[in-house]
Formats: sequence, C-alpha cells, structure tokens
Amino acid sequence: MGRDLNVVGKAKPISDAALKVTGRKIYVDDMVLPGMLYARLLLSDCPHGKIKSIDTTEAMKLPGVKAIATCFNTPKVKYNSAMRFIENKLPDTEMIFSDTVRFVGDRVAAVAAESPDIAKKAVSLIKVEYEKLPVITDPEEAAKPDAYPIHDGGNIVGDVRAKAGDSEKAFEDCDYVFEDRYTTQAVHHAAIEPHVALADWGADGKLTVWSPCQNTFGFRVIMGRIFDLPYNKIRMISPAIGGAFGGKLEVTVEPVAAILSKMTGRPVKLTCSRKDCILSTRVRHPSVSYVKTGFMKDGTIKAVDFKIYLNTGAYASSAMNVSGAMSHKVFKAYKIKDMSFECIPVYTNTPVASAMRGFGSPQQFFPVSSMINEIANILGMDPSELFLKNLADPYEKACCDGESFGNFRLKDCVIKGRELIGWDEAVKEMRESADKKSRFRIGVGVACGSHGTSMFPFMPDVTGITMKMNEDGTIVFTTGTSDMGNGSVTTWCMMISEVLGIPLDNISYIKTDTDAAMSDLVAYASRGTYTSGHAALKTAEIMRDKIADIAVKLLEVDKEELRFADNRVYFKDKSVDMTEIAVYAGETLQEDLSCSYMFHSTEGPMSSGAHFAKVSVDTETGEVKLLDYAAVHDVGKVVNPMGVSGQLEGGISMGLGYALCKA
Amino acid sequence: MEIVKLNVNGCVRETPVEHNRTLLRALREGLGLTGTKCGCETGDCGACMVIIDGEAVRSCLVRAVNLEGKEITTIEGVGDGEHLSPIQEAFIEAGAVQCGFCIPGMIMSAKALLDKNPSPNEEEIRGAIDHNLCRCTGYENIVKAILLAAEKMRKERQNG
Repeated sequence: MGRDLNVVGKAKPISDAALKVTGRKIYVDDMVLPGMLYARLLLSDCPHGKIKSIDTTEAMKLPGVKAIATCFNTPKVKYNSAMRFIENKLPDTEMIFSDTVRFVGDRVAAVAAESPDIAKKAVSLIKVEYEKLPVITDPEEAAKPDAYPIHDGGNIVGDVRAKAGDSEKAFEDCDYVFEDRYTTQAVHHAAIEPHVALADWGADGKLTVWSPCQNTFGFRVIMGRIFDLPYNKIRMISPAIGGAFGGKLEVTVEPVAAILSKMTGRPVKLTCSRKDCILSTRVRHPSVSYVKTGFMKDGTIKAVDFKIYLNTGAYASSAMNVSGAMSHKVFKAYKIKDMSFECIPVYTNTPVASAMRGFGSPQQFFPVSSMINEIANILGMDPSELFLKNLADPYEKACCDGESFGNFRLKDCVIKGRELIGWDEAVKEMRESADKKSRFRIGVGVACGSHGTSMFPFMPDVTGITMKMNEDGTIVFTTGTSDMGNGSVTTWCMMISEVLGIPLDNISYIKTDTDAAMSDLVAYASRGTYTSGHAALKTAEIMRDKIADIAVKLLEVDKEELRFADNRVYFKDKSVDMTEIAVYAGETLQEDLSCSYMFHSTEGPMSSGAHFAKVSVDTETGEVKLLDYAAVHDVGKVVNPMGVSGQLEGGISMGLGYALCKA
Repeated sequence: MEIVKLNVNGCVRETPVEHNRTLLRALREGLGLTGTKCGCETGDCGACMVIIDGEAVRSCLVRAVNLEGKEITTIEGVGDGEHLSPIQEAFIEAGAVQCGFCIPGMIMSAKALLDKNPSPNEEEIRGAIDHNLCRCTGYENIVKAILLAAEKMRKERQNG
C-alpha cells in the first residue's frame, strides 16, 4: 500500500472469540428446530458385500421412529462428494446408499426418530444380509490387473503423470543412484466437532441444510444433482465449523439428513458419533511411494523418479484432485531439472480418503525429505547443507511449467531454523550418543516443503464479496468462504478496516449462506487469505471510492488528497465522519452505498517452510520423545501474526501426531 | 423416566431423565444449555468438561441422577452474563481460540485449576488440561492463556 499500516500486521484475536469463550457460538449440533427429528446411521460391519436384504420391520415398530432410509427407497444417483462446480469432471462412484458396501463403515441405512436414543435403538434392530465379496486392503495388491474390481472398470482410479526434462538420461550421468520405498498411513482429521447436518425439506419444496462444511457452493451443486433441484431451491448454510482440516470439505451426511427430511416432512438433524466419524467420514490418503534419486559426489541431486500409489479407499472422492495437485507440487521446491512423477490412485476396501491439510504434500515431501536425509548419511554430509545445495533460489523457474517461484526464501528458512534449534550442537549430541551406543539415542532431522496458494490455474479460483454501508456508516459484507477457526474472515475484516479507516468493531459479516453470498470455490488450498483477501481488498477499494465521491461534495475538496482514518474522511484539517457520509447518501442522494466484486486468481504464490526436530529414541522400546523443534516459514506479508502463528503451531502438532502415532 | 433436580450455575432446575442419562445430555437436551459440547461421549476429548463441587469432571461420564445436591458449573456460569471473566478475556487475548469447539471444556478445566491453585506453573497447567483435546492450536496459546488468566485474577484480588 506504500504507507504505514494501522490494522494489517497487528495481532488480532479471531472475530467471534467472545461467542466461543462464553459457549454462545452456535454450532450445528446446538441447533434445534420446531418438530425436529434426530437421525442415526447404520454402518456396514462387512468390508465388501452386496446387500441381499435389509429388514427394518422391528425398527419401524419402535415408538417414535418416523422413517428409515436405505438403498431401496432413496435416489440412485451417483455423485462425487468432492465435486466443486458444474463442469468439474470427477469419477462418480458414491450414492446416498449403495446396494453394495465397500468398507467397514459404509452407509447402509439411517433412522429418523423423535429422540437420539430412539434412533440409536432402532438402528440396532435393523437386520442386514450380505453376500460377501473378496476384500482387498493393500493398494499395490488392489492395483494388480487380476485384483477383484471394487468398482466397475477395476481398481485404478487414474494414472496421473508429469515430467520435466529427461530423468532416464540424467540418471546415466550420476555418480550414485539411490532407491527406496516409503509408506504413509491413514490419519483421521479428528476435528473435535463431529460431523453433523441439519436438513429441512420445506413444504414449499425448498431444501435448507445447515452443515459445518467448508464448501457451501460445492455442496449445493452435489445436492442439486442428487435431488434434481434447482439451486434457488437449495440453501446451504455453514454457521460455524468446529474444526475441519479438509475433513468437512466433501459431502458426507448431508444427503442422508436431506432425504430423511423429505421422507418425514420434518427437519432432521444427523449427528455422527465419534466412532461413526472415524469409520465413515474421511481420512488422509495412505500412500506407498517409490523414489529413485540420482546424485553426484558433491551432493547435487540430478534426477528424481517419483512413483506413488495413493490409497483412496472405497470411493473416488478426492482421488483425482489430490493426485493432480501432487503432480505439480512435487516439482516446486528444488533446483532439480530432470524429474518424473506418476501417481496411481487405487480403490481398496478401506475408509474413504479425502482432502486433508496439505492435500498430498505430506505424502510427497516426507519421502523426498527422508531421501535427502538418507543421502546425506551416505555421503557423510550434513543434511541441512544438502537441502541448501538443492533447494531452489528466489525467482528460479519451475522445471515443469516454467513458472517463477517468486521471492522463494526456503533456503533462508533452513539457515534460520538451523540456528534456532542449535543444529550443530544437536548433531554433535546425536553422534556422541551413537558412539556411546546409548540406550537413549539422540536423533536429528530436517525437512522442507513448499505450498501454493489458490487453485489457479487448475480450477476457476473465484470468490465474490458484497458490501453495504448501513445508515450510520457501519459496514456489513457477505462472503461465501468458510472460516473454520483459521481466522480467515478476521483477516478480511482487517483489510477492509485498513482501506476504509473504519474500526474493526464497525465491520460485521454474513458468511457461507448460498442464498446470501456470491459464489466461492471453497475454503481450502490456503486460498482464504490470498483469494478472498483480494476480493475483500478490491471490494473495500470500490466502497472507498463511493465514500470519496460523497466526501468531496461535503468537504468541497479534491478527491486525490483524501485520507481515510478513525472512522472519518480527512482533507488536511477538514473531515467528515462515516455517519455523515451514510446519512448524505441515504437521505440526500436516496441511495444505499453498496458494491460487490468477484475476484479470480491469476497466480498461485508459493510459501514454504523448513522444520528441524531433535528426538530421543529408546532403542529398547522404540519410544520416541520430542526434545526440541524449530520451524521457520516464508509466508510473505503477514496480515494477522496471531493467526499465522496459531496455524503453524496447530499444523506442527498435527504433523507430530501423524509422524509419531503410526496406525 | 424420573425427574432430577440439578443445581446448575446456582439455579436449581428440574428435568426428566432416564436412569442412565449422562449429565452432558441432560444439560444439552434437557436444559437447553448447549455451551457444553459433545465431542466423543467416551470421556476422551474433554469438550464436555464441567465443574462439579469444585472438581473438573467430564459430563459424558457421569449420570444426572447421581448429581442431586451437587453444585454444577458450566460455561454459561462463567462470567456474569454481561462481562467476561478474566479467564475468558485471557483466552481471547492470548490467541487461544480458533474453531472454539474445545474452548468451553478448556475454560472449565482452567477454572477448576485456578480456583484451587491461583499460581500454577506450566507443568501444573498441562496436567490440568490433560483430559482436554484441541486439534487446532497445538496447546501453546492455551497454556499461555491460563498463565495470563492467573495473572489477571491475581491483579483483581490485589485491587480488591
């Protein structure tokens, strides 16, 4: 902005913190509508089978049971729960209820009843008969040509390939070639708020669904397809999200609540038990990867072949999205010019995999970083030096598409991180504990990763904001992007406050209501600050211009030298406050001050980070204790330092669980 | 069904419950007090933490019928309705609030600790929130919030 910033760059608590610390923030499970019924799921305990029969007789006799939904009385429309917009082509493998169960946790039926206890009791009375089918849980086994097909057409969802240069030729010129196999396990997002949906299929044919989802507009597209409803007859609202991390990015229980509401003519709330969440919602894609690296004696990495099997579980869901994202991210941290990438997402009879924080990044940065640590060991080099030798410099061009890395400062992160953790001392301790053959050995590790922001150029990365000024000069804006506790809405309020010179307390918002907001792609891909922030900024600039047009009339001055601060518009020592502006607009011009702006990204700037860990390993029990950890990230301009550090600390904690608690 | 009298936040209210109904369900469904959250119902996450006779208790693990005569405090009883308590202010100021779902339970654990131990160290704080899971923050700012709350409460006592 070329001037001192008053709001942006300063630590701000999340805008709805007061509601959350008093217990007055309303989450979907807190909601009660008149006449509301409670729903409960019946999940399969059969890992793979055709449903021969579902006997609901005893369950329906239970007083208070109002409806039971199964594959025999619900729409047979196939969909993909990760669909984002109308032309988004993804494999359609899911149904509200299928006549075939494909994993332990697959949906078989749902009961709507007068109370949660009645619904739970009724579920236990439903009898299901299965014709058992072969079970495959290993993705490499499932990928074999003779493996039993979990879906028509076999178990390979796709084969995503990308390359840069000629790795085959480059390997020939290398001093060494090293190959290894890596695995990562499934992880459940484990947001403290369980999955839930409240659906009200009104007597006027309008379906309203409240869900803690990250993707109100995408959910509306899917619900529209399943129920053959026009979008003005579907209202998706996400009033609050008690944590998501990608696990609430895809449609899960929403269609179930909706069909039960249609069947009963009453609102239906379906809250998953914790067990149902873990089994039947989503997990991170487990993976098996084969990495082949060609390098020189001096540590320069010349070529990498990366092949990964991504276990998508029983349904396609995000398989093609995650593998597609990986196919470009893998190229974007290193100087390496000759690389090949292949990702094979595969069906297995295991829980459905989906988006999760990083969206494929851990499954590729973990093997690559591990390999660099191993190569350092082979060469007798310091792994942090090996990273510095091979990481890209600022403004280098990515080998896959020639796009600039921008002001990429990952090397600086490595240098700073080394200093913070006391790397040299830690390495010395590691060597000493190895020499002494201590029971408790010190281990040190370093890993690097990069991340793009926004979905440019892979999807229309759009979001719109509408804004109006109330008659007293305060502001209300609408947005379709979710805030799942990451404070994204707070950053937009800060930007708007900065541009308009209006205090944060004078800015309110309505969010994630498909009837109220302009379109938004979705809350993921770290696009909240970048994409929606741009939309907020541009909308605020348009509003500022409208305010300025009035200010020049009231102050009788030129527009160019106006200054916006303290809820006033200044021209030198003259000023007028926002209430006067709004009153003039409403009462003299007889207009509302309002505007809107639809932003679409034209680039996807990168951020990056280097992490260092020092651990103690009990060589007798295998127990690992984390002794020290340092993380340094290049994040560009920080809008809210409290938000950034909160996200990093939470992400590190989640990553530690992923690494140290192997399933 | 039986009618149980529960003293919640200083107010005795009657609510019908089955014999095995948990306090969590009685609060949320019987009394409409939805500030206490349900994260697991197996005593693992602590989102349902309340205070019973001064002790932090997971309300999903106790039956309402066993609690007549006890003093129960929920998140709705923290602060005076119009003003935030020092603990609530501290959680906001320290950046301990993200998605907020664990926060009522965390605050109850913090309050139970600070009511007994006005100057806890970090180890005691981490011990007090041992039964509270948070998936968003990594706990760093929650610990800072409780330290800050202790400081605020000390100042309040000093100022009478």
